[in-house]
Amino acid sequence: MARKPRTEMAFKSGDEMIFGTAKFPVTSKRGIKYGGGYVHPTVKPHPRPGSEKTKKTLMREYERMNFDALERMVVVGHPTLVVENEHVYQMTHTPDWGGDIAAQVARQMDDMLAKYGLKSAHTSTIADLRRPESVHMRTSDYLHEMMASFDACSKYSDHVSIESMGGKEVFDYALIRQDMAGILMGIGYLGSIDMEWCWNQIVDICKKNNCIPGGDTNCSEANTAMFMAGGLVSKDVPHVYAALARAISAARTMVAYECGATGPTKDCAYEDPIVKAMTGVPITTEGKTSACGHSDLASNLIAAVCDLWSNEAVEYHDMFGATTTSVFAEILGYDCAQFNCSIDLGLAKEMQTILVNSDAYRDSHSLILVPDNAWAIGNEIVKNTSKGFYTRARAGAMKAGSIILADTKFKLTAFEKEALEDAMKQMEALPEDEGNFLDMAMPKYKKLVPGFNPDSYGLK
Amino acid sequence: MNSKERVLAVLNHQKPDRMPCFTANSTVTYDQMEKVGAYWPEGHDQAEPMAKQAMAAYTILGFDVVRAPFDQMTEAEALGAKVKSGGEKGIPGAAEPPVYTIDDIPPKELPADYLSRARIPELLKAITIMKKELGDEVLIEAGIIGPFSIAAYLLGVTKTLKASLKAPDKLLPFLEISEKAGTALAHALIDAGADIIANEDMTASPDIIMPKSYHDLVYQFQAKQFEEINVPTILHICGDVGSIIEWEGKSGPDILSLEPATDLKLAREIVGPKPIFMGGADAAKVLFMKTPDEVKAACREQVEAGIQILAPGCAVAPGTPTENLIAMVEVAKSYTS
Amino acid sequence: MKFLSDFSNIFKRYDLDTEVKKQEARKISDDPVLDAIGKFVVEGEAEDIEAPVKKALETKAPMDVINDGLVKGMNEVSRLWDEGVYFLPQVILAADAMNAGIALCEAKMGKAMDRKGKVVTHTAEGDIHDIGQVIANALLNAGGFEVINLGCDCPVDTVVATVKAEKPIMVTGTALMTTTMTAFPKICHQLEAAGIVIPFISGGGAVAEEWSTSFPLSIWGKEDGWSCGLAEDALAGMGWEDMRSKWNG
Ligand code: B12
Ligand SMILES: [Zn+2]
Repeated sequence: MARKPRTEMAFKSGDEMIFGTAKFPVTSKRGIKYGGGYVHPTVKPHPRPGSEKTKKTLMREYERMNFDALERMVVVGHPTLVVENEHVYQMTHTPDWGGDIAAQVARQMDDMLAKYGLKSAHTSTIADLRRPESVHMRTSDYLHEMMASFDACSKYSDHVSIESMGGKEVFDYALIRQDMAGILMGIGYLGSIDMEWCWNQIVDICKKNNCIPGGDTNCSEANTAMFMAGGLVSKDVPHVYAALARAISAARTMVAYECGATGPTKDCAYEDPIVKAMTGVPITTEGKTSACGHSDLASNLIAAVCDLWSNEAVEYHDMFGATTTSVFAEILGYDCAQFNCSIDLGLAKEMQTILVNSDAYRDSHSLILVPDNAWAIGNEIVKNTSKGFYTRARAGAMKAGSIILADTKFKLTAFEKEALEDAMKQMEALPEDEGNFLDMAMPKYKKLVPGFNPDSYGLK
Repeated sequence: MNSKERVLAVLNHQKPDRMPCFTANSTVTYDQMEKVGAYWPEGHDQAEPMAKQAMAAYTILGFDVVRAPFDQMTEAEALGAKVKSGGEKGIPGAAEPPVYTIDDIPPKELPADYLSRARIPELLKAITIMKKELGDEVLIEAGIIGPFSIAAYLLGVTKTLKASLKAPDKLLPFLEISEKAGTALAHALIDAGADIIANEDMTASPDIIMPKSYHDLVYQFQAKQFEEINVPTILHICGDVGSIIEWEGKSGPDILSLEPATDLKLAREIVGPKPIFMGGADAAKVLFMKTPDEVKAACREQVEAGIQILAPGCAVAPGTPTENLIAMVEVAKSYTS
Repeated sequence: MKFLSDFSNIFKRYDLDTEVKKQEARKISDDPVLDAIGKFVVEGEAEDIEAPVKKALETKAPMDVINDGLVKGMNEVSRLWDEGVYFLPQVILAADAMNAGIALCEAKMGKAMDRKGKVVTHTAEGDIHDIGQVIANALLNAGGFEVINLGCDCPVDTVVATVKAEKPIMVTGTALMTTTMTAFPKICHQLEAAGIVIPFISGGGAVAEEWSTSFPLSIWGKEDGWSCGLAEDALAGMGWEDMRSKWNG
């Protein structure tokens, strides 16, 4: 399916956006309507190391951990649950493993619906096995395995997703050097090209198998920046670089939806509030509930416009209360109950105000995800869509930077301010025109980044 | 192109055949003294040996410009400061105690015989000799000392630093006369044959004074000085000058001489395209102490970062091995256009 | 959307707080007079400091005024310098203010204050770059050591003779020129030859670690902030070899 570039905002303003409601709701096989007015929990069990030794032990692990979560819904009375299984290497590398696990959970879900009326759904997230610096992104065996895995899983799962890796070789080089041109090149340009190429195929496979093409995330790049920036007192990578990388990643991640993906989106895409503003698809986000996987500075705020509420992967273990997957599914469900109460009480906007105020001024990365700001960044991106992947990504990042600089309530440390001013200067000095940018950037990164192979992206 | 044409091309913002190599500071080493048969202390106060030592930069090292003098005391001594000889190995410096205290008021104008005082006549003669001998092939550079450093020689450095914070007003008359001393010397040097004037203001470094003091006290005098000098100029301030480079640039020199401690990329963004950047390997830590290969690597790194004229980061230490200085020239030769 | 105007009950910006805290002078003392004394040291006010010092001396022991006001103020200055907030002129002025205060206290005691031990400092023969030494003097002074300041351009023989006469716990040298640093090994060899085994701190921009640790007695003094730590070790009787392995390498 060909990509339809998005040139207009799906939402008319940041204010129009609220959790639980998307412009284009999507309904799962067992009847959960994402973005149809309420928020739904998504739990993400992860197998213990060692369980992947044989297909049998791995299937057993999935059977238990997925079931524990489903069962806990019934125990405490939560009406819906999405279970996302992010593939471990073997599940994608040997496509029938992933496919058989998807079939197994589908059976479990059918049972729970029949027995209790619990509406649940399954996401298979295929592993992107391609390391851009070492394999060809378009012709390697890994690519074929991934597509075979999409085919196998989409026969059983409600939705399929991926965390694609395009541009990571250039991005990694650029981030530690605080080189904005390289960050734009890695995420904004190469990442987008690779996504368009992958997602056109994924959407076709889904159509064939009657599966929902879920979404993508810039986990491998923007989240790398976010984790390296770290907590408030860490100074390895400036937080503003993580914020700018995030804005750029919104322009990239949107490509999936331009190619026909519909959501629910991938949970760890912190760029999703911007993506929702632009595309109107139902989004999954994760915040405080993902502290089991990583820490962030936007834990409540990131729920402000979510449609599904997730926890990031949690390894399957016993806790005092129950196994980790039951515990997290229960917490997520209660969070959703609270969001949904506010909706039915007519207090959703007030609830959103609370969520946003909690974190907006904790960090620059949080600030740009405030609904109004996310919308404004998205607006810059779609306005520049016709000028190409690079140009729209740069426009989004410049907007994010100026939002941070202009907000009088938000205080930057001297270190952060200097970093941001430097980044803005770098971006201003870059050409607006994609062709001119590439004339400079292609030879530069070909020379500087050892594993960068333009042919992987269909480039010369 | 010969050296003269090469440097002129860079000064006119045109393409030279290759990158030039020369410096804003002293180039003399013991080794060169041996080779040209002219020594210290005479090289500091007699025209002939001074000219010989300066010209060694071209004849022995292959630098594109020759430059005198080699110490920092010329103006201050002519204004009454006592100088302590450095003997055969060292460089003349200020003797204790300084001539003035901060509560003194220095003369408003230069003494009528200023240009015939102390070592100035010999310096002027040396420049004339250099011009006569090499003037067709290379440009002749002469050094003056920046107003803040001269003031510090007149008052003592510690006293000057304190005054920069506590009594900046009392410093102003010293800076005024120091600026006049430097400018008058520059005019005489130009008349004697100098094509380029280098202004060294080491004590104005952010390693020593607050960036704010540079802006409030030094900048205006440097700007005035460059305004009044009608040949190409270089400003050299030591250390990481990132915090003052905006004002260094605005003061108006054609060339900024920078130590490797300064972030060149940022510096360029701050000062804009006009000032030419001169710099290269660290004079003490690399040129003096390391091997030719390390010198080359250090120079290349600086050129990649934006240096347009290769130079030692600061004054060449007199014990620097000749092969290290020649290694710099070789790097310059490898950057052809 | 409604936004709070004050988030202090919601979250704490440790990043901003620590940055601002580092740049601000900290409170010196809960006692208002001692705090004023400390503040004048931090601000480098050698004249203004006299009044509060005299006032404090009416009720407090001179050594307490020194230790709890003047020295604490100077410690704060040294921290601000380490943080890159203060520049050299500020450190020099602060040392002046501290010394003015100490002079008043000593006058009241009728004798010089008791010092922990003597340290001989100098800048190498032929070298007029004495700023590093000036700072070391100020910090050692504030640390309670008696500084025997031989100033700049100080001949090797003078250093050796002074050490023989004064019996310090430590000697320091500052050299910023490659032509002058060669004085340090000469001093150390002469001291050794005279049977004086005492730590010699090689400081100044010209000297590198490798070179500084290539001759006996010498320990590389990377930054002035080390001065008191090194002197404390020497005072505690640590030998130069142990000090070298602790501070260098
Ligand atoms: C300021 C300065 C001057 C001032 C000096 C004022 C003064 N009273 O000190 C003036 C303008 C007078 C001057 C003159 C000259 N200078 Co000068 N100057 C400098 C400059 C810019 C800064 C030096 C400085 O004070 N730094 C700040 C202090 C605090 O640093 P520091 O002393 O190194 O101390 C640090 C550490 O070493 C350590 N430390 C030092 N002492 C001690 C002691 C102890 C106990 C401990 C623990 C630590 C410690 O702690 C400090 C940091 O915390 C340097 C360039 C540079 N960027 O270094 C050139 C520099 C030192 N100068 C240089 C030269 C060549 C000269 C002149 C010969 C120039 C000339 N051609 O006439 C004359 C010297 C004449 C003479 N006979 O001495 C060269 C020396 C080259 C070499 N290595 O041989 C340098 C390196 C510049 C260069 N060419 O690269 N200079
Ligand atoms: Zn210098």
